[in-house]
Amino acid sequence: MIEELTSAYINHCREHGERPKSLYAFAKSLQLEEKDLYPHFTSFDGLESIIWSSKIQKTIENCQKDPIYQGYSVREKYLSFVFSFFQELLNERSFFVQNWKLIAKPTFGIPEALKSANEVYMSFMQNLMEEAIERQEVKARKYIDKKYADGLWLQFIMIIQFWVKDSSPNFEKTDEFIEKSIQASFELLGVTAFDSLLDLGKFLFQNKSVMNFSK
Amino acid sequence: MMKENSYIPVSKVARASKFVGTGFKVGSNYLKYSIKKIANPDLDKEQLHEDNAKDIYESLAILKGSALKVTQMLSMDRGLLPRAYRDTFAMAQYSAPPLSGPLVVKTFQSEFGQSPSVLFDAFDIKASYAASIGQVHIAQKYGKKLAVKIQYPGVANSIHADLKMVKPIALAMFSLNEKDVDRYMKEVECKLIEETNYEQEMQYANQITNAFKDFNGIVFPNYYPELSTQKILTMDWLNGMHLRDFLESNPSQEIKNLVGQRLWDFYEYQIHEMRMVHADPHPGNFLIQEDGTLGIIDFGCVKVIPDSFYVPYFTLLDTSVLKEKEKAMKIFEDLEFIHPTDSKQEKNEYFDLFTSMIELLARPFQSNQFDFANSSYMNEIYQMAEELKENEKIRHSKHARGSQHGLYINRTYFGLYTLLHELGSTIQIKKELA
Repeated sequence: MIEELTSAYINHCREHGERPKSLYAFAKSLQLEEKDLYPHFTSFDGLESIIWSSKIQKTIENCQKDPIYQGYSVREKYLSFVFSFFQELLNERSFFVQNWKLIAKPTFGIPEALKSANEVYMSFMQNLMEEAIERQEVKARKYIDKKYADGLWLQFIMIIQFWVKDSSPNFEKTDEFIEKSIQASFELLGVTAFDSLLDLGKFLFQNKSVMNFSK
Repeated sequence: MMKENSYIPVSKVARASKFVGTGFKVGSNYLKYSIKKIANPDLDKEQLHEDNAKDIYESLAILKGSALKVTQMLSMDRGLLPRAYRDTFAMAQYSAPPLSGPLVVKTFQSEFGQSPSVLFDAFDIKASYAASIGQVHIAQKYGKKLAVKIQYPGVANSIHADLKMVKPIALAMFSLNEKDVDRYMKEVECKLIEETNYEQEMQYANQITNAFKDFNGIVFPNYYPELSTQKILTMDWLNGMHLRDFLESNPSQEIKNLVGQRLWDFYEYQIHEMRMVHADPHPGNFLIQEDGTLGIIDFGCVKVIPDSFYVPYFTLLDTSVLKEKEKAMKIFEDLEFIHPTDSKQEKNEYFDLFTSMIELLARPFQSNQFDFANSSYMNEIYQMAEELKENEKIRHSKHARGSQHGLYINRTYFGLYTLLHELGSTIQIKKELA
């Protein structure tokens, strides 16, 4: 039922370039009663939130079904997730572009419509990040490592923003952006020069008596 | 296999700063050299060049795509480079950091709507080697081992910007003059853009393969149009060794001559009979089997030779023409070696310069047999290139000398001579072609 409702909603928005006038009008166009909708959602905002989160859910399931995916490193798993996500949106791109303009906020906060999408994303990432730390693909850092997934979420939002505005053929530039930005992020999450500097600093501090030339 | 590229600088600013970083490193290499030189006056410049080449290569390898391609081309123009640079850049011909597996899958999905694991019976998600603007994967289908070349996304778009960034480096590092670099870059840009179209490449490959189907001992891969698009090219996997590995296997002189002769015939036939040429004779494009069978791959860079260039250029192969100064002068003008606005004195100076150059380059054609193993001949060529580079007249000339078609043809011959020299082959020159 919910699948038919979402696809009807997406089609309406794509054809008319705007939301239906009211829940009543939407129900009527499907020859339903208004009350038939309420078990599934109670506002268009609610429905849109379901659409975004189900896309993420579906992407995760599709990725995990692919035999190649299991052999990937965490970095590759995440890359694969993001590439597949945009592949998933491609068929209904005009809806998502239109909707993004309604829901995106200029600030860093999570848009209301993406709250539940964010929850699905986070629970997926929690596992992924634990695996990454275990496999030492990213470095465990006290306090901060809990925030890795939040950082990647912000980057994910930036990529959507980029994709919405991308006008290159086949959205090739988005592909490049995904590849480059995620590679860079994982590089930062791994052991970096910063860690070595911090380590050196600690060492020098602990051995400062040896370093004191004046004596 | 090299570690997968850890990151690729994102924006133009980031890419540019990569170059700035390189400049800095090169600077510090010079500093290091100066300091070492004080301590040890015998230190030669080779070590310095080696350090520089390594740092430049590292930054270019991260930029990938066309920047990498330019280094490949520069490495082919060996005469332009001190020896140490050459060796390091030659590395670029074999390996560069690959793209991530998920992006490869994504590319297949957008080109075919299918994942490579569905399209092929087997597909190795790790790239086997890099091919300057793409990378090559091994796959299985039709009971055969296949090579699948995948283009880096966005390569076509970034060519122009990349070349612009390479220019200052080329100017400074290879002490070329700006006009030459511009013209060179423009011709390279054209060819590079052509190279990003794999369908075009397949067409050239088929044309050349057909022309050579009666030649013994030269093999080409079959191409599979149903598994190819503009960005993905599927062909047979050719067995064989790269030149370096082949030489390490200690082949007999007989086999070396055989391979060299096939290489020579391959080029002669294309240039004179087909008037188009596989203009990328770098060692990575040839695969040699133990019995001397020569496999030829990568037809991205094919140069069509116009008659207006062919006729005057190849008249010069018969160096007796040079003795008739009037006639030769006319040919030099056709080939844009000499410019109509040059003063009489300039004309004479250039005439002497180019005459000695041509006498040197055309020397193999003057006899029935030529021994390319002879180092003194190759050294003469390198020396001449070195002198040309130092030549103040040419560097500060108002006009770039030599037509742009010459760029590719000269490089083709130069690359061919170098390959034959490395092979150590003796070649029968005026052998009748099949």
